Amino acid sequence: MAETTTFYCLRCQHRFPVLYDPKEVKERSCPRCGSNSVRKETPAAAGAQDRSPSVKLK
Amino acid sequence: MMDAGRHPKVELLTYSEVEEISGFVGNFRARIRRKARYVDEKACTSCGECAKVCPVVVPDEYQQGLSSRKAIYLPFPQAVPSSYALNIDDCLGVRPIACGKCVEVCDKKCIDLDMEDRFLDIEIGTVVVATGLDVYDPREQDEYGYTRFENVITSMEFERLICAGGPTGGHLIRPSDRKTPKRIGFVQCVGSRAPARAAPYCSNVCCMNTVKDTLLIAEHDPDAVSHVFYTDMRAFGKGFEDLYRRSREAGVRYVRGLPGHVEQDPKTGDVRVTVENTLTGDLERYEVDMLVLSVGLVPKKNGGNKVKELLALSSTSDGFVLEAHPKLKPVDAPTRGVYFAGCVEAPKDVKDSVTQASAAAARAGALLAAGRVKIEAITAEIEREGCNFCGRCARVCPYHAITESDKKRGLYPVVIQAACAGCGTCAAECTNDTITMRHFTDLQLLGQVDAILEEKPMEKVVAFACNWCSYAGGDTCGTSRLQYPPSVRLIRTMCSGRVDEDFVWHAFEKGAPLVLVSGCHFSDCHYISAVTWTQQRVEKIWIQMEKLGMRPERLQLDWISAAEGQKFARVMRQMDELLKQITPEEVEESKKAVAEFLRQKREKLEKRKAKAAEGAGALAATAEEKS
Repeated sequence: MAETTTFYCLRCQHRFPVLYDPKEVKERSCPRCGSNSVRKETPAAAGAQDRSPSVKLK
Repeated sequence: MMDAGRHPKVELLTYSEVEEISGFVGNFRARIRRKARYVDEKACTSCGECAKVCPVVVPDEYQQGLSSRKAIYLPFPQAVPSSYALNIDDCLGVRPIACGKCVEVCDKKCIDLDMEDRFLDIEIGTVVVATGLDVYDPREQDEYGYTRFENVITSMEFERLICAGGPTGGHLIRPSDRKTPKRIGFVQCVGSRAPARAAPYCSNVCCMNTVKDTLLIAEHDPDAVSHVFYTDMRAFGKGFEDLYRRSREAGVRYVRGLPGHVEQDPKTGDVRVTVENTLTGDLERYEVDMLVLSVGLVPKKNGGNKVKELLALSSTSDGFVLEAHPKLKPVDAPTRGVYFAGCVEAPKDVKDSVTQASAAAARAGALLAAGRVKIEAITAEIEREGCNFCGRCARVCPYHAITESDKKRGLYPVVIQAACAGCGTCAAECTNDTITMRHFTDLQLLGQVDAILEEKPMEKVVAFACNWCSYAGGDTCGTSRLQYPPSVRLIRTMCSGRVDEDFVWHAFEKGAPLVLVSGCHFSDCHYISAVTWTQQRVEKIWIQMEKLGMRPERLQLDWISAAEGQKFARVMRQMDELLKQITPEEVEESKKAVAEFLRQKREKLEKRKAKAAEGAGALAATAEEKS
């Protein structure tokens, strides 16, 4: 069952909501930088974001 | 159909079903069930005497239930072969014979009530799938009153009513009182373009079918008025815009907006339609004698799924079959030697169906005429030693080119070389590393990683790029004279699905600060669905990186198509920027963690392989005993 889940971008650290169904594998991209390195936010991942580098958007 | 029936090299097996199909391109074997027709199709002259005496009357499916047929009947006037058939479910009974009137009147003695289903085993080289489609059932959207109001009908029912071969002989009447309707409404997009409630896609043919119907009405009765309630009229294609123009010139009124409320006057039978005209913003009310729901097209339900299972065909999200490539191989199935024709692939009109069928026949014919199949040079090979029969390789193969394994029966998985396309997903997913990809072996790819990181690893980004899209995107970038930083070093694989977890870990172990995995967009994947396994694998590595105290940001993922030269350059610049933010201390720390992780992983692998080898030995001994 699809539900809204927060994803975050591993390139620009942008957080965004996504209608997510764990059974469905589909292409996702960051709405801000267009990167496909996006993943579902977990508590551990959320804490790690503060020390993560990010790409400056031009 | 007549031509196909008469052709000396075409054998028509009507009223038949494919029960089993096995093998691969050039070597398919099929088992066909030839259903009992109870009538000798070669002897039957279609005189119809049997139907005249048959006492059973049931709704005629071909006429959409608007007229009736007998239990023994001719499916439709142009049926090939032109022979009657007995529907045993409708018949009063044949074992023992309860009626038998049809047998008595048949002069040719071609009715055999003892006939049974027969099975036919045939060897075939190629398969063309043309199983068609179904029309949308409007009972699911009852706000238009299809189940409540007699004078609300579907476009299929309208087609039968206005057809000269239909139940009324082409005389248009409305169902409630059989009067000739003077005002007819059409509602478009019933069951189409409604993601929340029905099919999300456009059914392609409904607009032009309605335009054609309005012109037919105008020809039948010049005084009749037609109203078409639509979202968008789509009249692309040769001659269609002209047809649409003629319809408007004939006085057909097109109202942009779908009805919000429909009701039928119980006394007169007239249908009242309330609609918001989205061009004027006004709420308009129309009274029509009959309302026609222009129903959409949906994937075949009855039998369609069975064919997909038999041929291991994939479906798109809307339920139609998935072609090997939307642009380069639009009539090919991912399984080699299987082709598509018609609406099994997507909704399309007659012209497009004929075009696709011709293309499919030509593709199949070319393969058969060649008499031999050219297989890929880059294919997978499974070494029996070390295989633990997990079956993962067969599950992930997008081409179903790997046979199922069975430990109990000692059946090892085998790669069907004629079916393998060489994506390498099986090799990347094999937990025991028993699959070798020819020309893209683990050793070759790990060697490239080593070479990249041999000198100044802190200044390098190890980037895996798939041959067809990302690597080609790099070529586009180059030919467009776009610049990207030299820090990014590409390793070409045929598919991103070939990028083994071990390649990424090996790069980190060797001191790579940043690794990029790039491949095709999901919709463009040259190997059907291999790219989905790439994404899942990368997500798995991200989790493991966190466990090892590494930042998952050091493994990046991007889908770049061959045309996206600019995107390629942008991603590479972003990689360079990310690279500058990674410190040598961080890399050194992670190298130790990864080395320890890989050491444990290799130990486990050795144990698994030893166990598998023991199992293989036991299997061989059992086989020897049996022999």
